[in-house]
Amino acid sequence: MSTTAEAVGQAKAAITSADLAKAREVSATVGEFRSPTPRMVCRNVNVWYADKQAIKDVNLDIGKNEVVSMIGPSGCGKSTFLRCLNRMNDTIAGCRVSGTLELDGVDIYDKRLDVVPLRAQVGMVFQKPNPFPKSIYENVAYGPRIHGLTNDKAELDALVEESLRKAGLWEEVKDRLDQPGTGLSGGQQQRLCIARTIAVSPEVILMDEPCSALDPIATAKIEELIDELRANYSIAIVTHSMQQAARVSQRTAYFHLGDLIEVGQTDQIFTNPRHRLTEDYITGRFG
Amino acid sequence: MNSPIAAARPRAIDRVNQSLKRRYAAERRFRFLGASAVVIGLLFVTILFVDIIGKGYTAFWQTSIQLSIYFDPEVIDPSGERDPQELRRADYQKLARDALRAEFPEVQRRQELRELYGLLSTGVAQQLAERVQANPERIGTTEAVWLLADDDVDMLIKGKIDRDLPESDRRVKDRPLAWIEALEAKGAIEKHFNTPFFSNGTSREPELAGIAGALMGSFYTLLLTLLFSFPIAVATAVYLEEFAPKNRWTDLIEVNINNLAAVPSIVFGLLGLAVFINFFGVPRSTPLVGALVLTLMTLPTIIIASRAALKSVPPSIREAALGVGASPLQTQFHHVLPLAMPGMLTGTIIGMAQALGETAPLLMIGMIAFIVDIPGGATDAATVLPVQIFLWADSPERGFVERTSAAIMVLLAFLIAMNLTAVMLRRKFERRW
Amino acid sequence: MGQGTMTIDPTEGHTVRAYDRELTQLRGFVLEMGERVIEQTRLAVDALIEGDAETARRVVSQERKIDYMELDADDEVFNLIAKRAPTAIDLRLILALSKVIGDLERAGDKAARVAACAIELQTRGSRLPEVKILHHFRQMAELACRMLSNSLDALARTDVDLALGVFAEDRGLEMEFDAAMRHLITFVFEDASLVGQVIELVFGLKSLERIGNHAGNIAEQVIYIAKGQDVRYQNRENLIAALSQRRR
Repeated sequence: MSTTAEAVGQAKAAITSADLAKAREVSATVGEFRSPTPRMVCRNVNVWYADKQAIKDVNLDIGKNEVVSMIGPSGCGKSTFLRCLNRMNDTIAGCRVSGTLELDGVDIYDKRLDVVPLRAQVGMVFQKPNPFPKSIYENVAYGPRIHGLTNDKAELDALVEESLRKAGLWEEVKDRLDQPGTGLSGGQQQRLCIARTIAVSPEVILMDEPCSALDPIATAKIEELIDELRANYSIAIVTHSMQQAARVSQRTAYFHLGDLIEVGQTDQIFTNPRHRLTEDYITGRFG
Repeated sequence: MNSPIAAARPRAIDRVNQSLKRRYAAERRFRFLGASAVVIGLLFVTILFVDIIGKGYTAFWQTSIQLSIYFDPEVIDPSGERDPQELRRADYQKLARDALRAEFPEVQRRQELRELYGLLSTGVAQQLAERVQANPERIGTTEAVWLLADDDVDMLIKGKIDRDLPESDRRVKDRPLAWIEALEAKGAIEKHFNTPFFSNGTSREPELAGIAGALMGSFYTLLLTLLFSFPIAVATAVYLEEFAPKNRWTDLIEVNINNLAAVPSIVFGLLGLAVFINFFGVPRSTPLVGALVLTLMTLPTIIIASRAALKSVPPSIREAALGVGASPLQTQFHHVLPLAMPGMLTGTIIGMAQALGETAPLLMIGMIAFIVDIPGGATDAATVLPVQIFLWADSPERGFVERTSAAIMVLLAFLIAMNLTAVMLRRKFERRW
Repeated sequence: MGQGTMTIDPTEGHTVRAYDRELTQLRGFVLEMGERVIEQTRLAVDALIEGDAETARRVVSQERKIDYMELDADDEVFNLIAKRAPTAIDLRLILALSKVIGDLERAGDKAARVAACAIELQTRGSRLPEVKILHHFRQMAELACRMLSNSLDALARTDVDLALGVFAEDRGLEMEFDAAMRHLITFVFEDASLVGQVIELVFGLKSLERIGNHAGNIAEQVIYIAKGQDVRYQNRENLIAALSQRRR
């Protein structure tokens, strides 16, 4: 057991730009990117869009029952990284991914792996609420139906109700399940999208700026929901709102120009970040 | 104390106010130009419609002459066995001529008789034959029957031939005119609704010419065109837009599709002649080959419109579907296509309307032939409405003028009906959000 | 030992420049408050040594001003937190300044206490038994004011070295206080009737020592701002050793 003073001296390393340059050769990331109970493990992930490298050697774990938030200025690669986690980047022409990304020990970029079940396991909620132009019921039932998760109508009904309840939307929509999902308010639509995602029982939920189109009240409801969902899922959330990252996540990762600069407990990142870039960004000194 | 610069410069709002008048004037001019363009357009459409309807509406009525016909068993059924073969072959013309002679007993000379017989259409034989075949019991009885008048008589009655002109300038001479007036006085000349126009094929005789053949020809041709072009075009559009890799080949294909849309339609006709008829041996003059050619012609239009419709489907919907684990094909069929369908239908209708009005390529594949029979299927020789209009417009007989206009009206009605169907289909699809 | 590649001014560099201004303003206000406390201490000690009751009374009456300054500064802290939702170094700076404000206010009270002591001695009309004891006062006041001044400088420049220097001087202050105490005790042994005066003097000395402690607290806050580590209630020697070692 070391003395407190020693701990103080060690824990708070003064990081100079020279240190950084040295550190860059080893690993660009400050802080512990591993999780004690990892669900997704990403090592040395590089992503290119044509010739442009969008992600550089990123290492990050997403643990069980935790919310990992990814913050950083626009174009820093946080969304790109998120979209690697369920291979949504496959749909983008000219996008190349290298490195290891594992979900429960299975390499998700294995050539033999089918992306359809992967996307059922790693669900995604997008920036703009994007319910299908179908009824509320159909929106939630669509996933289970195409994956054949239920045996009969009654089971499907129950699953739809359960998903809507988990998304905190059931009480608001139970009397109008046959009405179009697009007729809901923005916040309700986003919760509908979350219900749609959890209806296929994913293990990980990816959220790409889920509240950027919502008002503060709706945002608060989603944040509350995220906190509840943490009990059953692993969640990775990209957000532009640092306050949101601070509120909902247990760990925070700061991306900058394709590098993962710093990862750490959210409390630590927001009170005492170790990297100068992180500090500049979260205190509004960026640019 | 203001600085001299600030004092010298007028306030921004003053400048804004100065320019305001000019800006509003420009706006008014623009609005006026737009409105006048619309008005001029509407004016021309109105003129077109008034002209066509004015010329053509009379074609829907046809002059008939009432004669009391004795269905002479000697003429119709000399053997008395009611043999259908015999009934069909009988000289019904003679019955009509006998009746005319009975009406005007004073006419004896051959020259005069020919003029007298000329009052009736050559189609009366068919008319009477149908009557007898419908009910052989008529044989041996006498009946007052409305028989089709000759097209000259029809024109005279409709006032298209001026009765006051000197005889030499008039197509209907004095003697027939006197007979006609005599019949009119008796009330034996009347205009009836022109059902033959809708049930007959074309004919050399205006009073017998109908558009049923062309209408059916157009119908079969369009139906086949739709069946061929829509699936191919949609499949092409979906593939190019959603699945094909973006490389030099797909770029080339895209450029070619766009170019094809601009190729003169007659070229497609030549292509059809060379490939479908000469190489594949598809029977010429048929709706089938017509449809094949028109499919080639409309494909680019539908593909371009369909791609635009697909592009306009928000990518967020695709992401949403892929995000819950739908396969790319499921994404397309469950989400993207339903949303793009209204746009695709619009493109299809534009293409179909184009095909409906097309003449040039069909000339090359023999659909301009004079075909009297109404086609019963896609492989019967046929012609189409615009070609029929073209042919009639080319005919010298006075009676074809109104029929041309009437055919144009039918064509337009066909077009409007098609568009309405399409709009209704669109509505239906759109209501499913 | 350069003061630094790493020391940054925590009140600078925000994209929203009004934020910079507000932080600078708050810190300036706190520094001004500190200057005033130092001034008060000096005046009080001078009044005590020279037996100038007039100045001593002025010091006591001026003490209210420092209280008002505390209220204003607290308001500013409150506004900043509410409006800017500070994070990381900004948050640390504002929280630290808030604590520094409290320390300064209490240091101001202590200065007034020294002045009260001067008034008390003056009204009793008794001359101090020996001028030498006043030397202790001057010595301690000198030390306490220097510590306070250094800690405020450290705060102004976010200078960890300077802050560590304040800790180092803490020891000297303690020793000076102990020496003065021993000296005073000898007075009581010599003449028990001096007990009343001696008690007054002990209060005065204790107040000066407390001012030095407050300066130490401020230095701790400087380290908190710069390093994000709460170093309160820790062994100062170890701390100095650890942090200076880092530096080399």
